[in-house]
Amino acid sequence: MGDGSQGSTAAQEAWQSQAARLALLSDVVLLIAQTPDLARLLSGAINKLKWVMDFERCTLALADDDTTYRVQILMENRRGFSKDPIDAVPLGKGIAGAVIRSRRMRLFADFSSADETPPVSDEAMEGGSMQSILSLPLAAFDRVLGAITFGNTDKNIFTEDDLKVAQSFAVHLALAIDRWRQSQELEARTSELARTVQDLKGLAEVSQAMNANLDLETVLTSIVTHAVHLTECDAGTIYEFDEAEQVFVPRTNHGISEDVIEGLRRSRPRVGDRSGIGQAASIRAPFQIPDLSNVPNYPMSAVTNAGFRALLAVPLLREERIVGGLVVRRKTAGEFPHETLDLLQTFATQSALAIQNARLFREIREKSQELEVASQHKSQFVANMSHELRTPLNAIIGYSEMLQEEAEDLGQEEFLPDLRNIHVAGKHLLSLINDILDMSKIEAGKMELFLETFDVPTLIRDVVATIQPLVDKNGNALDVYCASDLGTMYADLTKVRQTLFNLLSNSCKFTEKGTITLRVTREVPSEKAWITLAVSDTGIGMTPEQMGKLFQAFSQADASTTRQFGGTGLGLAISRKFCQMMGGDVTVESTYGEGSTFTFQLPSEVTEQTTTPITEAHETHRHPRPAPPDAPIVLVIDDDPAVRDLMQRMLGKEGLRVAVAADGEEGLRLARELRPDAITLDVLMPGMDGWSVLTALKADPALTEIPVIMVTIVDEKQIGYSLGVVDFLTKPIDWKRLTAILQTYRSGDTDHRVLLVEDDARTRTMIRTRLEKQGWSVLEAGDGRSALKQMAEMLPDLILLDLMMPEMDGFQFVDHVRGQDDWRSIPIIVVTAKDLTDEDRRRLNGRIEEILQKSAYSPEELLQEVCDRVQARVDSRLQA
Amino acid sequence: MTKILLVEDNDMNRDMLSRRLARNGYEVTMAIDGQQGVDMARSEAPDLILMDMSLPVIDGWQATRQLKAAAETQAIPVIALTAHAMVGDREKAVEAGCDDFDTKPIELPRLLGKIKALLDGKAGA
Repeated sequence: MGDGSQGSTAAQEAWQSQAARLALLSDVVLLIAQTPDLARLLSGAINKLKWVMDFERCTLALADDDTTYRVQILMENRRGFSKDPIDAVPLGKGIAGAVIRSRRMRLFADFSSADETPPVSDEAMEGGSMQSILSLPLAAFDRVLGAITFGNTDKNIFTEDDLKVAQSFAVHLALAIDRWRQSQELEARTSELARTVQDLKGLAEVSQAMNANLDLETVLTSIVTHAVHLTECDAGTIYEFDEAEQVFVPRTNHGISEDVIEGLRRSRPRVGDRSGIGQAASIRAPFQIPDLSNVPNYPMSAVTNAGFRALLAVPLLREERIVGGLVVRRKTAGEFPHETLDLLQTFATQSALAIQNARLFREIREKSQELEVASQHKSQFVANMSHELRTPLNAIIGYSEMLQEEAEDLGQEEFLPDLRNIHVAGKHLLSLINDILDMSKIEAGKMELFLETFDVPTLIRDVVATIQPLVDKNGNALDVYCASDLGTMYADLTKVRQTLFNLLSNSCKFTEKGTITLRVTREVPSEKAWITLAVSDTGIGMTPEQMGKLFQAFSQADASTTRQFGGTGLGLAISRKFCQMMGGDVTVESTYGEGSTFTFQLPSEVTEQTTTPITEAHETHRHPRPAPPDAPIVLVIDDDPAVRDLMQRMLGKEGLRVAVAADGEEGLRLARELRPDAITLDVLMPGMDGWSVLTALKADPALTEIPVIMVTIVDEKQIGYSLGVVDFLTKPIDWKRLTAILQTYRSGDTDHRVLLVEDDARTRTMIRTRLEKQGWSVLEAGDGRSALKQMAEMLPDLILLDLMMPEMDGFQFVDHVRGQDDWRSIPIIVVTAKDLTDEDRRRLNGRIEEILQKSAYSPEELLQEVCDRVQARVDSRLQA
Repeated sequence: MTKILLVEDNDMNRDMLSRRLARNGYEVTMAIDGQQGVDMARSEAPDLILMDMSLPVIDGWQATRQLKAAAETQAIPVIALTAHAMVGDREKAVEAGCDDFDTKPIELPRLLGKIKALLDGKAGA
């Protein structure tokens, strides 16, 4: 073969080698593109590459950040080699470092004789005495990720072609690494996210379990299970600290057998001992034992025997007191990362709270059960005792009566006064006991009516005869006026007699050398006939304050009254209850120092469960100017009889007819029956409270138009509060109604401003849009405080107010507005949620109580305000 | 002489009431529990029975029911003596067949009135 053929062969070889290189390179590129696993990609790519490039050693340098990089040896002595990256190297050191920093390829044909300034050295390459060294930057999208370096112990190995192949390789490798890193990062983020979600879910479940279920066992099981799973442990225990024994008792466990639990119990861990929980409790912080095999004679052998190698303990603290401990255990040794510590701390807080809550709940339940039992015992005791007391008393009364008869028969008159005293004292004692029994029966709701028909004049004669000795005692005279048309009545005879006797004996007691007048009439103001019995005296009389307390149980005008005049102070309260049970009532009028008139009215035909509290018939007696039958009716809903009485008198004086209801249900019933012109409503009532009544009133289309004035009076504190609003609307808003209400506050063509105070931005926008369409200009405020600020700048014509707001709520706001002279007359319309939750109610009632505490109204001022408002509302309705 | 059977477990009440009834011209015979009351109603054939309601062995309601169920005793009027307005006592007494009732403490004139009314009614019938 000649030169030509040689040349041709050389060219062919070169061509073949070039083709082989290209084919291999495309293989490598394909490989790089398709292999997601970086280690496999690298080893595969390097293995292919070594067929076209003669290198003995290959290293991959990956930059950590701007200062260091790590080198991984991929090939040594022509054989694939994969070693974990060695320690971080500063970028200023080594060939790879220089390449990464400069982003430029470096080629050394003879490294040992290279004359570099500054001199470079490369541990990875020098260590293998590499002479030919080729190092290329790995750059993707303008970022330098690292460098790939090839080495050979011979000099002048890498050709121009090698450089091209290596460059192409480096480009694709860089892209692959970049992609891999991104996927790694994504995966890390994803798993982190998943973990966070799981953590949150775990915690949420725990909190839910805590809120939803006060059963401690369930809560703690949920906590310990989640704690074990989320900390990637194998087992866990929640200990409760037994204060009496000063030991931790395993309370709830996860992942351990009964035997191990028994072992935990038997080791009786204490604060400060060598157990994990003992030490955690002692330092009051998380405590971990990363390797139990390093702890000789670990005190809780059950743990080590069960194969646990590491544990983390957190004390459960409640207000600085140790209430228990939470421990998680792992079967592999190793430190717990601080995230785990944090997580477990959270669980510990939840557990402590759960234990505390459950304890309180348990205590409350036990207490309330005790109370219930005690209350039953009390009722039973009162009933029994009254019975037991009455039996011997009957003997005393009976024998003294009998002895009086015998003494008379035997002519032994000198014994009579003493025997009479015994008899009278016994009778008195008996009446006191009967009062107590009656009252306790009324309070327990066990008093029943026994209805029968009886002749009224006979009853009067009967009672008058019985009372005569008492009348005589204080030198009084008794005048009786009976109408001729009294006839019969269908009622509870005993209770009517007792009531009349009671009122007469009261008058006798508090009058000396005066006149007591009993006036009995029959009146037919409507379809129903009423019997009115009025007992007037010329006795000591009462002040308005004394009258306020008159009908309360165990309260006489003052304590000295009891000492001076005797009695339990129950008589009037019982009499009134009796009358109310029969559908009537007892009322009083009195002038201090001049005398009192007690009037009780009963329907002549009592029906079971009747309550006809319309006091139209009363008015004729109690007021010199009786309200005309067509006068507006105001319904007073209040649980306090004293308040009802006061309101009745005050409103009655304004010429209004008044109906009263003692609770929400009755109030609603009467509202439907009577359709009153206005309603005053007590907020704080037992049972159905004012809010529920208000909601029901506003939900009923027939009643929704009736103005309601929310009033709460705390009578004994002599202060009260009237919520000064003109109307209530419930959410969701009835637009027609709102428009109608607003319309009544518009007059003339001038611009009308409404201030909308509402914390929910969406509701605000909605209302604003509606109102603006109707020609109002709307000012907005997100809470009471900013509303006040707005008002200081520009006075609105009307305020639309949400009650439940942050910062300053509706009540506080009303309080402020009504406290300013020039703001007081601005009408406020309250918009309240349709379904107030119990929580809302508590909040609202809490606010009212708070306001009551600081309010400076006197009852007279308050009542005057209420009267004014009722009158104003009634007037505006009548005009409309 | 008109004979009254007084069924009452309390010694003092029994003693007191029996003496007062005797002073008002009645012959009084006594039983101390419900069962004895039923037995004596048969053996003594009284003109009227005063029956306390809370009694040992069998109570007053049960005793009255037995008396009103038996042909030989059903015509004898029974006045129930109940404690002060205990809930339902009155209805229960009427249900058991009592002809009238009175509440303790006994007001003698009132009780004597009721006794007389029942005896007169019986005599008239």
